Amino acid sequence: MRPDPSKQIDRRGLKVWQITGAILSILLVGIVAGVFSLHYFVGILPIWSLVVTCIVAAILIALQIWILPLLRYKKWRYEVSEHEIELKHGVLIVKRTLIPMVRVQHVDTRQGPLLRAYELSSVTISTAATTHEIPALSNEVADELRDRISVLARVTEDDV
Amino acid sequence: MMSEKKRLHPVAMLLAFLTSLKEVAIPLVIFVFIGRGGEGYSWWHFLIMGAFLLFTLGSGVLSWWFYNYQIKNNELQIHQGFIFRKKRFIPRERVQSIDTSQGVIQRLFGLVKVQIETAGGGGEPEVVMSALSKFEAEQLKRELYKSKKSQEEETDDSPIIERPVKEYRLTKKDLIIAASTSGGIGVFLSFIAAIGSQVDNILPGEFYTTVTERVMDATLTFILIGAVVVLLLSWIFSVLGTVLKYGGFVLSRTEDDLIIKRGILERRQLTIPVQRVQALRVVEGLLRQPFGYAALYVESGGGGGKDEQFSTVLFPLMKRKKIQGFLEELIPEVPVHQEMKPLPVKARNRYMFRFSLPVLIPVGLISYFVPLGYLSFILIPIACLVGFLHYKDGGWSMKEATTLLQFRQIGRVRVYVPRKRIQAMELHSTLFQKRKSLTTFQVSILSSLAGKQFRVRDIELNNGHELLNWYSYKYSVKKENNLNE
Repeated sequence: MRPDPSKQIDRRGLKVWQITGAILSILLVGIVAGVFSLHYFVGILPIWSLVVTCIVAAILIALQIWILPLLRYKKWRYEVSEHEIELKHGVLIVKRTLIPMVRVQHVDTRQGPLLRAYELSSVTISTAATTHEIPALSNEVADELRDRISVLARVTEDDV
Repeated sequence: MMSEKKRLHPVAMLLAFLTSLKEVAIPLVIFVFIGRGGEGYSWWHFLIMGAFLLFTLGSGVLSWWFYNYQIKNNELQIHQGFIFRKKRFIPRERVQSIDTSQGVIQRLFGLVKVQIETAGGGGEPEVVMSALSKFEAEQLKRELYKSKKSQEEETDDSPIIERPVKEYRLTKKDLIIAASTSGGIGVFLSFIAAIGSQVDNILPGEFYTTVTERVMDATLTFILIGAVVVLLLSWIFSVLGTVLKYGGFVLSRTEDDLIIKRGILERRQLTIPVQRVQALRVVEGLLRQPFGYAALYVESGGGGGKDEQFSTVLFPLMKRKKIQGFLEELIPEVPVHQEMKPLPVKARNRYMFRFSLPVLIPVGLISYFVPLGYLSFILIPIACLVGFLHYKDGGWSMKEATTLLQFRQIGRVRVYVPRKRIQAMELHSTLFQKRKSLTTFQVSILSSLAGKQFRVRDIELNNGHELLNWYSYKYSVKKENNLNE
């Protein structure tokens, strides 16, 4: 067995995902409200359908705000060594990725408004064929990682 | 080194005119035949049509006049456009391939069409020069390739004559076999489409009551006859198309390049530098597999169109047994091997389940609602069988510097990827796979369409880790050290 990559992402990333989940949940609440107003204004819907809607919405909200962000955070692992980048992440589907340094074309750091509020950035690594993202690293770690990868990646083996 | 600004051959005007004419052919025909109403043509019809023709002609002339190219500062510089000026500069090192082809019109005037591709960037070539004289095309090619090979030791301007080392031709017999078996997918799809269109006609309206009656009596024979006719026609077209496309197929290997010439009406020449070969693909189509035939494809940075899945046909038809020897002789740079590890037995049920699941629900619905619908249950064992075939044909192996992936995509596909061409390697495990310690193995390579992925589902997780180790830098270093000791 190949050992898992060692590093975890920043814990504040969890917060950001929870907030994103909360924003999405507003949509769900809207749908539930829609079903209830349908019941109230248009025609009587059977009680069980209302109950089911509420339960499903509650489960989805719980998943979005608490369970999925937590699992996602716990599962995320990355490691950047001199010669390669290794990632492992995913809740339902565990993805494990190996990218040799010589294949890296460019590295970006990105930051949305939410990430910025928590002083986080994500690092995006592009090869000639694929793109990979390490989400939610603290600004310093992300910048350091980006600079390090771009220096290491400069060692070209042979042109594609 | 530096060349002056050049225009395309004037025939380019004609080609531009014809292209824009083709684009507006349908509206024009509608305008001429349908738009005239009851009282025949009036003066403004002619005015509009005249203005229109003048405009197309004029734009053809202008676009030719304002299009020029030159090689300067190690770049191919192209200026074009008269209203919207466009400049495109392509550094020599970024040129992936330079292809020439000859359509009917180019042939008539002894010209060629030149297409230049860089890595990535979608299906369309970055530069299309519709008409150049053969001499100028050759010159352009030489200048773009020359500096790539030996920028420093540029000795003299005498043309470098590349002598073909080996040449492989497609025999007439093989061409016919290739053509008549090529339509596997197309024929199947058109068959489905034919049935689909019938279903579409029937579905709306009074679905429950009439659908069965109508299908049962009059329409059934009609559908069958229609399907057979459509099937036959599409087969004939696909045979003709393939013959025209791959007639006169010649593959040759020079010192650095693979050169492919093909086509009867439109003669195409493709040059693929061996350095740019990303992967080799062997495809045994549904109709070819029983006879032991396969087609060979090469994945390179540029080239290929939608119909070839953005790769290039290396050889249209070959006996499966000969492929190994052929590839060893043609491209020793990409070592190929036969050994393959099959999928573990515990993956079998997953494959069968994966294929029967999408069938299960429609079958359930049909047998519930439609009389005699339970006959559709026959689809379930068929789906299982398809799944079983996918399972049986799946496999992988790695040896020295090449990994092999085999899987079924209607036809049986075998892909050879050299380690140094793999851009990234991934393992995906779903929760269900995890329980059985299986995983999906995927490699990504460079292709003209923003990267290409090949995957084998449900290999043993341990094997997945072996593959990662094989791909990993540490392992390759260790291996080299062991060899040195």
